[in-house]
Amino acid sequence: MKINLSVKNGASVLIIVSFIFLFSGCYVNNKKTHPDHNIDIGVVLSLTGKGATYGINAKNGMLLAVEEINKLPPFNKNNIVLIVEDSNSSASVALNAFNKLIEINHVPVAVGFVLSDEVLTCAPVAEKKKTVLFTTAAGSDKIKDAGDYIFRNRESGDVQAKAIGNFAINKLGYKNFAVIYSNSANGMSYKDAFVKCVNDLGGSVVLFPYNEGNLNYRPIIDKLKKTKVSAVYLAGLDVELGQILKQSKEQNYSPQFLASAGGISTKLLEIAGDASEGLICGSSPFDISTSNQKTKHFIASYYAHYKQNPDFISANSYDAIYILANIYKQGKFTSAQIKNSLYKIKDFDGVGGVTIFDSNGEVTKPISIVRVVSKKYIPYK
Amino acid sequence: MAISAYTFFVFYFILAVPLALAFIGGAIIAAVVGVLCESIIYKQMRKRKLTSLAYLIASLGIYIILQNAISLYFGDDAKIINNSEVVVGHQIFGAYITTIQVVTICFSLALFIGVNIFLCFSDTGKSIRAVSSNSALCNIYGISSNRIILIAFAIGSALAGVAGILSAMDTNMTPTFGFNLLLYGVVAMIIGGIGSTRGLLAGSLLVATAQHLAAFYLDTKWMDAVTYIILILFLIWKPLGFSGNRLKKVEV
Repeated sequence: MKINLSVKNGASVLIIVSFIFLFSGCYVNNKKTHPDHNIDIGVVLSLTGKGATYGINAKNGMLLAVEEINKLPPFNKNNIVLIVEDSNSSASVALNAFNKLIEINHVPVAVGFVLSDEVLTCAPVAEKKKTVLFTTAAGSDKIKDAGDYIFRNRESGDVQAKAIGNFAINKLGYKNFAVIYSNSANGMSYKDAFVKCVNDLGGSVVLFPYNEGNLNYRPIIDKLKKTKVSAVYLAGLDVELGQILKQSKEQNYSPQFLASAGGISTKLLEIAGDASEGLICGSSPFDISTSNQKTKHFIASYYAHYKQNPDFISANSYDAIYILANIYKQGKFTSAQIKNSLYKIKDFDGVGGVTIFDSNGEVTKPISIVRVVSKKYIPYK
Repeated sequence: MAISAYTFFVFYFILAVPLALAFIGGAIIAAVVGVLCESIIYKQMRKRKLTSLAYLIASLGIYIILQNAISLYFGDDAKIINNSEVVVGHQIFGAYITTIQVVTICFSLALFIGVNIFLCFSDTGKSIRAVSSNSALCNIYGISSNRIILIAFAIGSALAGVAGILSAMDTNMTPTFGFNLLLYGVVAMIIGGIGSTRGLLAGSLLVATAQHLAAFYLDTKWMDAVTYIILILFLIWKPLGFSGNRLKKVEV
C-alpha cells in the first residue's frame, strides 16, 4: 500500500515537474527565437477555411514585401520577420492567435485580419493591450469605430457598396434590385450600405439573407425568379458567391449579378466557371492592367513567385509591410509610436493606391469597377 | 461522407483513376473507416456495457478527429470535385434539375430498392434485422451479433460514402460539409421510425419538403429551424415515428 502511494505521489511530482519544465522551456525558447537584431511583425490570416483565398493572397503580398525590404539597408542587417498565425477563418481562433502574438511574441503590431468578424473580435484586445491591429482586407463599416489602435488600408465596404449601387443605377440603368447577403459582419455591412444607396436614389430592394457557409442556394434562386428583378447584388465570401452564380445558371436564372469585394477571387472563378461571366464587382484601385512602373514591377514579381496574378488584397498587404518598414526606419518601434506614425501618413503611394489615414484609421481610395470577362477581372470601361 | 468525398478527390484528381473506380474506391474507403471505428471503438464500448451517452460522445469525438485529420491534410477551403462545365439544368415540370441531381436520384432509388431486397431476402439482411431487434437472443441462436454489426457498419458507411460523393459533386465540399446532411438523416430516421426503410423514405421526403416550403414561404434561415420543429413535434406526439417501432435509447 505504501509502495502504491509513493508511486502515485511520484507520478504527481513527475507531472508537476514536467509542466514546470515545459513552461520554463517555452519561456527560454521564446527568448531564444527573438534575438534583438530581428524586427517582428505579427500576422493573423485566414490561411485555411472560408476566407483562405483572401488570407493566402495577403500572405503572398506580405512575404514578397519582406523579401524585398530585407535586401535593403537597414533591414539587411536587422531583418523584418513575419510571425504568421492561421486564424482558420474563425474569429475565436484569430483572437487566440492575436493574444499569443501579444503575450508570447510581444509584437507591437499585427497585420492581416482579412475577415471583418476577426477584426471586430480582436479590436477590444488591441485597444486594451495597446497593440496596433492593421487590417488589409476587412470590409465592415463598423471597423472605423473599433478603436484608436485599429487601422485599415482598404476603403470601407460601405464606400464600395455605395459606389457599385451608384454605378448600377446611374450607368447601367437598373432600378429594382435583390440582395443576397451573408449573415456575417462583412455581408451585413455591404448589404446595409447598398440598400441605403439604392433607396436614396429612388430604387427598390428585396433582401435574401443566408447563413455563412451555406452550400445550397436553390431555394433563394427559386424565390428570386418570382421577384422579376433584373439585377442582383451579392454580399459574401468567394466560395458562397461562386455557388450562387453556379446554381443560378443551373436554374436558368441570369440577371445582372453585382458583387461586393468578396467577389474578386480566383476561387469564385474556379467554382462558378462560365457562370461568372459578366459579374460586376466593386474593387480597390489596384489595377492589373496598370501602366504605373512600381505596380507593374509588383505584378511581375508576384507572378514570378506565385505563378498567379495578385489582387487588391495582395497589393494592400504588400503596402502594409512597406508602410511599417518606413516607420521602423524612423526608429519607431513601440506600439504607441507606430500608431502615432500611422496617423501621420499622408501620402504613401503604394501599389494598392495612395494611403492617407484619417482620424479613424481609415483610408479613402477611389473605387474601381471590374467585370469578369473570359474568367478575368477587367476594369469596366 | 467527407471521407468518401475526399478519397474520391484523391483517386480521381490526383491519382487520375477512372471515374467509376474512384467512385467505388471512395465508398470502399468509407466502409473501411466505418469498420475500423466499429472494431476499435464501438465494439470495445459494447463489451464494457457503456451508456448511450458514452456512444453519443464517442461518435462526436470520432467525427471531430476525422474532420480535423481531413482539415490538416487537405486544408479547410472548398474543394471542387465536379469540374464539368456549368450548364443550365434539365427542365422538368417547370423546375430545373442538374445532371448530377438526376444521377443522385437514380442512385438513391437503386440503392433504396437494393437495400430493401437485401434486408428482406438475404440471410445476412435478415440477420441484421434480427440483431437490431434483439442481439442477445441472436447470440443464443448462434448468430454472432458482433459480426453482423460489423457488416451493418460496412454497408451503412459505404451508403453514406456514396451520398457524400454525390453531394460533393453537387455543391462542392469542405471537411465539415457532411455534418448537416447527417443531422437531417438522423431526423428523417427518427420521424420515419426505426427499422422501417419505407418510414425512412417518408421521413426524408417530409423533412426535405418542409425545408424547401419554409425557404420559399418564409426564409432560408428557417430551413433548419423547421426541421427541428418537426422533430420535436414527432418526439412529443408520435415518438415512434411513422413505423411505430419502438426506439431504443442506444439507437437515438
